[in-house]
Amino acid sequence: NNKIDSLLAIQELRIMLGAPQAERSASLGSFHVLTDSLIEGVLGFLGEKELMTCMAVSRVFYVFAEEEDRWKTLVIKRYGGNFRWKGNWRRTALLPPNKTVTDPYVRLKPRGYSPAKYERRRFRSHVSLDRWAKIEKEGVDRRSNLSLEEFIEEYDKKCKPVIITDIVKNWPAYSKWTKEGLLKQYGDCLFKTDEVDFKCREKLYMKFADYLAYFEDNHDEDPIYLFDDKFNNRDRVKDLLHDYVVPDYFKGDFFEYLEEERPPFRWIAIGPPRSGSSFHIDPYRTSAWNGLLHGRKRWALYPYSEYPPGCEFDFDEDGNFEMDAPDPVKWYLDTYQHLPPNRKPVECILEAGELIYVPYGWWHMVLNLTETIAVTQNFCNSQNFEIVCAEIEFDDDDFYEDFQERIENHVPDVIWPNNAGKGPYKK
Amino acid sequence: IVGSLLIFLLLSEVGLITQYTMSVKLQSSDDTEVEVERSVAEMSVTIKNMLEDLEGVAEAAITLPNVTGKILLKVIEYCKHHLEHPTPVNEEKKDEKRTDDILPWDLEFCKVDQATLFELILAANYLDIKPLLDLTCKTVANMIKGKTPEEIRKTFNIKNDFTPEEEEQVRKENEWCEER
Repeated sequence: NNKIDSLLAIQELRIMLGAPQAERSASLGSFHVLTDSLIEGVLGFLGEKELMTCMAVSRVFYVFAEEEDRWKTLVIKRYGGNFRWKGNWRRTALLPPNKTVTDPYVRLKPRGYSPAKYERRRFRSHVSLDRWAKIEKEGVDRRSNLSLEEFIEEYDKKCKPVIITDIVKNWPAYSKWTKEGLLKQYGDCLFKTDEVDFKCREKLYMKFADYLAYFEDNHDEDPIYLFDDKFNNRDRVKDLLHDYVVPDYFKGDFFEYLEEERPPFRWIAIGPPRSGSSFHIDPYRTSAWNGLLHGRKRWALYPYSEYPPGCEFDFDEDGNFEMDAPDPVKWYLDTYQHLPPNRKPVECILEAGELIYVPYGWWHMVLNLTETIAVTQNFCNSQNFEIVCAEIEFDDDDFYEDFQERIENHVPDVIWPNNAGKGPYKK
Repeated sequence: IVGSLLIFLLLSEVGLITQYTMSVKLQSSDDTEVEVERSVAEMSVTIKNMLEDLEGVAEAAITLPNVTGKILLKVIEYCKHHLEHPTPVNEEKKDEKRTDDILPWDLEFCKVDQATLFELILAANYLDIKPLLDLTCKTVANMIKGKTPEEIRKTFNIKNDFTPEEEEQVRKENEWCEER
């Protein structure tokens, strides 16, 4: 921890004292007048072949041309989700689908100029997650044999998170949803990922076998996450619905009445170590549960009224809320380790076989410490009904009217809250 | 005279005159001063933002410490031409990263020495003129395409600072990836 920090400090000191700077000039030639960002701009117009050639031009060109982000863009541009993973994005872009290189890729040892941004990114992509594998004092209750009444009184009504330890182990999914099991059953089926295909702006779909090859052998800072909310619509894959049951605590979901109009509410979440979600509140301030079948997930939570530190918040001209939160590893390195005790989040590590309840409005961030397989759902129950209505009304009049109509038809004795229609977040 | 003066004042209150007849004085780092129409100058988002801050000031003069007179004149030439000949917006699916679709006038515009070309990249970036930045970056990218590493080094005066071992390692890795 300290060693890496001091190595980075020495590097930055060297850059300041001009030692590698001379190297930057000679190694870039005419390009040296450009900023790193402008050099990236030029390289962004190159195809695979030219970028590969640039790697052999000079020491500093090598550093720029080797950078994985650009190769990832080229892969997705050419193949969409239909790529055969070859150990890194560059090889995946350059090698034809049916060819592999058995020799592992050996990167040239760092020597001379390298953009500090690249060094930090490399560090975050490779730093061991061991430093976050334990929590001194977990802040979320663990319960078993929890009655419905106890759940409502102690957690639902109090808007308090809880981990329930005796549900998930009873699901068929607990034994069936393994890497090998899923590969065998659904290897050639398509699954939705969290990666956006910038050509069509839709999320990328990948065959499970292709995804697994990437899942097991990547070192991305923010790995592609298999995050599928449409699995109920697809042949064979929809059988997965039979492998788990929504626990009784979370029944009575008003969003069920929306039927086909219902926004996405259930996900299969399969992610490699280092993947996860940055800080966010679930849409319309619905509540959520997350059942972990395999692996370990580290959670950080802040109550609704406490904006997570280290994130940027803003309101645009229309009063819409915007936020920019860093990826989990970046947040833990840049923000978490400098927080005073009273600004630390509520924390826990969810283990395989456990289920966490995240009540409405809680900010949460998840870091997958290992390979993880989970299923998660969002819902609107009597506890958060008023708040969810306010959020919907603020966001989308048509949706609100539709929701109102359906509820009135199905549940006529529901009392409609008098919504002020004001923005849901404090300015 | 009083009558037309009153009308003039009224119209400038409403912004009708200032909007369409105002020109902008641009001053380069080496004290070249150029006067251009506001609409030409506003193709630079940087200048546009500066002008908004200077709203209401009668004679707006903008200093550009990062741009020499020579480059400023080139940039103005680009902006003037593209204002008069706006490029039709093609289908949405257009590949922004292709480099073989540069218009003839733009090609000619970029036939300058290398140093000027790189200075144009810096100016387009500083002045925030995206089409010019894309054009100049694409032009440099086209100078890289189709060349071997040694040819690229020669073109851009780049030092080969690999050790023999490093060079061999890179060559081998590329060779593996090249066989198709």
